[in-house]
Amino acid sequence: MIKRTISYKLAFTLVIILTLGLVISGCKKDEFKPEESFIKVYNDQDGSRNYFPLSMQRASDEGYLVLSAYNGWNIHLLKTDKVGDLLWEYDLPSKYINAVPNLVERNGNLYFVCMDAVGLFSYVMQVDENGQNAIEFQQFQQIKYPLYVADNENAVFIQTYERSSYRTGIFQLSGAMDQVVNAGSVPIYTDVEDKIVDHLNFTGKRFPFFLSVTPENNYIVMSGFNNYSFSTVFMDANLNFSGVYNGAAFDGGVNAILPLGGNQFSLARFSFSNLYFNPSATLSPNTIDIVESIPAEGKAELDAQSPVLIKNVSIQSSDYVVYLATTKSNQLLLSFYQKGSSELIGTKYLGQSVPLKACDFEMTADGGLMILTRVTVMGSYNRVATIKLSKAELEAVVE
Amino acid sequence: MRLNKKLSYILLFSLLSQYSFGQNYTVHKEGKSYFGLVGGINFSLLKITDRYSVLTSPEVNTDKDYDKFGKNRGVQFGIRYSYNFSNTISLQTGFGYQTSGFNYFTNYSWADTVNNQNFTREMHHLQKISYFTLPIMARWEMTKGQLKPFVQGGIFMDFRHQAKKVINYDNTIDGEETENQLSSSSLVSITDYTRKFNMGLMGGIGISYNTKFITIGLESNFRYGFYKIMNDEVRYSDINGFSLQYLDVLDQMKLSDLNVQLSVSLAISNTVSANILRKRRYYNRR
Repeated sequence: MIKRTISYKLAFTLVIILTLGLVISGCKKDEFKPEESFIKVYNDQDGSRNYFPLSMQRASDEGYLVLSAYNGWNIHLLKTDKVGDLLWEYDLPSKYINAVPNLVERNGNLYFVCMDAVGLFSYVMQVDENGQNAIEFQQFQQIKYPLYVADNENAVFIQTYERSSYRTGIFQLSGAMDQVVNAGSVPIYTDVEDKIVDHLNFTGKRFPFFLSVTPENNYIVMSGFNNYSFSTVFMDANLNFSGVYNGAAFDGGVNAILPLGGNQFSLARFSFSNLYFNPSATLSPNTIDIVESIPAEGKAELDAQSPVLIKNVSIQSSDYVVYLATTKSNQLLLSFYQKGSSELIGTKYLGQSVPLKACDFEMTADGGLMILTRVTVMGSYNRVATIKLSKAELEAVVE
Repeated sequence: MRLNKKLSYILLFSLLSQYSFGQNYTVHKEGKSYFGLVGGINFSLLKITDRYSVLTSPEVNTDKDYDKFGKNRGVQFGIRYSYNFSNTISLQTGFGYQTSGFNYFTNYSWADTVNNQNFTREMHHLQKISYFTLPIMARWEMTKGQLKPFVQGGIFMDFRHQAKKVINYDNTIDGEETENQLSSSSLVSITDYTRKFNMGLMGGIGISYNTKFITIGLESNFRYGFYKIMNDEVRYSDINGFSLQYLDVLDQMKLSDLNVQLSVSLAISNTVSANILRKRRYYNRR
């Protein structure tokens, strides 16, 4: 009897210990936050709509604002919350067309540059998050055909096509974006009108017009039409021509440049259907050379006709230069390089069997990476999509 | 109709009771151990705690439409060990393998009035999650006869083995799989999307018939899972490519199920003392 009682107690105690142990292990605190990682496709049931995302910027409420073109050069805005869900969207009136990358942030407000449908001059539009729309902030009659906008906090630079004088223009706006403070241009000696029209209407090749300011603020580097080709032009701080790397007519040039400081640049260049990366190129702002002479490593799997974006990213206190590009099989590829070095630290592919196109990306406040992409849903409908990678996912890439 | 059904149950119960109490043998299992095999089917009952979707739209309800209880079928089988503390109270434990299924339905449509190109897509998502299970239950058998109704209750622990998913799709939104349009995705693993461990409470009723050495049982148990079963951290990792291709991402949920199973148990002790039956008269005389 005593023996049986002991065996009951032993069995009962073992069951209790085992159960408690597993309950405690199962009750592990759920630390997941929905904003850490997500994929969102912003749907439009109108099958005739065709979207092309242009730029993305984090809003003051931790959500994101996405600037897109639809059905050619029409303009669409959408605002998400911090977990990527749609809060509101807005189609600008047909008077406003041809929004250009990028969104500019000033004092907690977001702005973008677009064009007047009739006068072809430029507007600076302010996004009104409360009104869930965009309003005219400033208009510049002298700035025609905007192609790209860059912001370095102190000033805003707009690259343009000067249709009447056949020149690529560059306008420097004040930091408050209320007046033109400087302007410069380079000549174009061949007819690029049809190329510009195709670019603006999304009916042909999208040229990687680009503009950036060096960290020292001593040069502005831009990719645009110059002489007889699509070239990379250096302008000095007064917007005077300084140097150029000429492209191979319109079939070769630079897709994207990230100035690292001094004469160091991370760049991607294309030659016909081939794409090349050099995360640590040395360029001379005063030279006259050809783009093809810039040493770079070929990336056979990448699509040279799709946008390439290069940005600084900090992961675990280390600085990296990250390239976002589109593969020929329509995946996205993130390539991580140690800043100032050509050493490839890691890569990450996104997407598998659905066509994606790289559009924009930026680091998030929580150490993750937000990617703006265009996804072709059901093989038919081009829609705006965002992919958020968590901090842990980024760290896994560079480990 | 309902009255007839109730009367049928009462009649059946009366007959079983009559049979049970009118048997010639009583069962004496105190101190005896049994080893058995169990197997049967189960029906999953989901409690959706958090909904997630890839597609976000103010126009469309993107919530998944889950199949009803009866359509979420799975199977389970395993081995069982029981020890009888008395003639009516026993501890049941064992080791099993259970596959739980759950299905849901999504549909999307796009209308292109400009080019007169409309498109609809209906998708039926079929998921199966398999667990190694460890139940521990106390059982109370209500009678001493050979036919013993019983109730039992305890806990279970599930250790995930694997999870798989397939999507059947067609282009007609009617809630059914349209045979002449039906296509399927490949069968993919969703193991990484599920959590490794779950546990909960289980309880049920059943009836067993005891012979000299073998006990045959039929039982039904409800298992209530405590924990959420999906792994939040990899929900959008798109490991299998379904997130963008099929606009699919798994909701967070708790999994419970109702099972029905048969069991066959054999006494494990020396053959002389394994006989658990005593003539009722003999027993009464003593």
